[in-house]
Amino acid sequence: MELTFTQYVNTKIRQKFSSYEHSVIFGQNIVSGSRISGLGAGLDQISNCVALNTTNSENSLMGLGFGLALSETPSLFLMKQHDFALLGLDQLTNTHNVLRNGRLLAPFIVLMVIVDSGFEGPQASLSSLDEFASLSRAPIYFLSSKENIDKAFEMASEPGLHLMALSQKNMKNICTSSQLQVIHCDEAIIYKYLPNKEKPKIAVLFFGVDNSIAHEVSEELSKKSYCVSLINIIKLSKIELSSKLFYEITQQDKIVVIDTGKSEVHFSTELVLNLKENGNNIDLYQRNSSQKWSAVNDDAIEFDVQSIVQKISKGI
Amino acid sequence: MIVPVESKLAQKIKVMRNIQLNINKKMLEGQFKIPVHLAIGHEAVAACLAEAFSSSDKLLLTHRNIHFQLAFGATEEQLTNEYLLKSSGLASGKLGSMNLMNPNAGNIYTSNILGNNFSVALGIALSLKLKKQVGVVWVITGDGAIEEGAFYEAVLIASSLKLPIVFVVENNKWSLGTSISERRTEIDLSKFVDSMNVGFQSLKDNNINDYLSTMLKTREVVAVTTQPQVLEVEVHSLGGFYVDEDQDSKRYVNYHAGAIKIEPDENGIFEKNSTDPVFTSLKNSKTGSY
Repeated sequence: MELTFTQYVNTKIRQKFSSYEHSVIFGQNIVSGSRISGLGAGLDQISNCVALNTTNSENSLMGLGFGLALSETPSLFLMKQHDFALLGLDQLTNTHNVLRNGRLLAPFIVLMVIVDSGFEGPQASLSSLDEFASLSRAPIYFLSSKENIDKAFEMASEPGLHLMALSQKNMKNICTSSQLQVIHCDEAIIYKYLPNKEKPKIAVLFFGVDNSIAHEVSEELSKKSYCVSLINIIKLSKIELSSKLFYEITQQDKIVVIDTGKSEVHFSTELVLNLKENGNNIDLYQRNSSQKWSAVNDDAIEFDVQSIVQKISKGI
Repeated sequence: MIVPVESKLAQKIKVMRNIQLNINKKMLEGQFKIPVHLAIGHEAVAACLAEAFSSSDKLLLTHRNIHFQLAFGATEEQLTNEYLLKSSGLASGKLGSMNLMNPNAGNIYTSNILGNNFSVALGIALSLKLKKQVGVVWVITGDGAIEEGAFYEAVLIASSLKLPIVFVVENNKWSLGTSISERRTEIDLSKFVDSMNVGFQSLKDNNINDYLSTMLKTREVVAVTTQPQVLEVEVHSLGGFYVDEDQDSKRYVNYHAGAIKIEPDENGIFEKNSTDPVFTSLKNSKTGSY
């Protein structure tokens, strides 16, 4: 049976929290009402797990998760909208800064829905994960593919803070295993399109929660018989120059970085600067219409598949 | 010979005062690079809480934590070395003063951010409750931090989830260099917490018998009912000073941090009245010179 992203993430939550002796899942409207469009379905049925419908107190709920982790109790804070987490930034920053060096004895997962479906207004449509990852000094896991979701929940078995982000636009889409060759790195999943060894190697690096544009770009390039790797970033954080992923990227003839986050500063920028210093041929696509985020809009991305593909074709 | 608890506490309070005065001397000599917030005048609440504290309890502190560290067993050497950021310090020289915690004594979190420790206490208390562990979470705060919205949220959640927490409010009526009357209206904490079905107790004048019996009773109520309580304790941060404000007027400024420049008497007493816990506890226990 095919599952949607919502159903698949819900399944992963139920699997993970079924394995604990004591655990807590909490958030607003998670065990009544819409249950965050189904994300919270059945969470109150998990044995040995307490699922709590909470007050609207995001700052305190974030701290509550840290207190549970200090006490060896795994927990998940399910959050309907990423912007709610702004109220918990003191906890994500200050509390995590004191406790992140081994004092947290159980996982504390914060799963945020990124409201990217458009027309929600300048506040609800926040998508500024780079700033959150920077302030909290914790990576943010993009739940942008089945493989990403699997990896994120695998990593979330470790004690400590785990921030995850899911695209609202994706929630009703089908979440299936890729038919492509898949290579797992710590920081990303690499999807290999049919290799044509005679053609230039192109890497499409994607930072974000909805990777449909990166898939489309990769498909188009693949149709032109390029040797394409879609590098879907799993965790938003600094990519070390000594990492296997960085080495993989540097071996490409052409690199396209697509970042759909709305942050003013990006980890992807730092990566691009390092790659340029390394002499790589690279194009960077980021959303830069800050002014646009001050009014209701369709949340559309400013760049499109055809222009990206055309630029690559000309420049390689 | 059986030493009455009140005598034991009075002696402990005096020792805590003397150690703080020794640390003050080191501050005057410029030995520490980190900021230290002394708690001269706050000793009684910490000493009595340590006495009422059970081994299954947890303690969450603030930036001004030296009195609790001393009451919960830290030595002068451990504190001094911590403030000197030496590996032989209480937290191996890694936490300094304002985030200093001592997990071996049940103090598993300390925050110097106002209002930041309330919600962490919620999680710890929820974990105790879920695991059916007998224990109470004591979270320390002050009259400044209760102005944060985080206090309202935490009391509301603690009451809603019936969590075993005692919120201890050390009310010295000052926040940095600003008194309550200079920054806000008075808050009637008893009415505030009553509106959320939370119990309230208040203490003042450094009467250690009263402090200890109230804390023991409060602990029992919270442990049995798993209903939170708020305990407001009036404290006087001794070591304040006057500053020239206008041509002919001086303004009193409460002690906040750093070295105290005024000298106590030979017994370490700053005020011979109920504002000074060393004076009051020695007087009441009849073991000292007062």
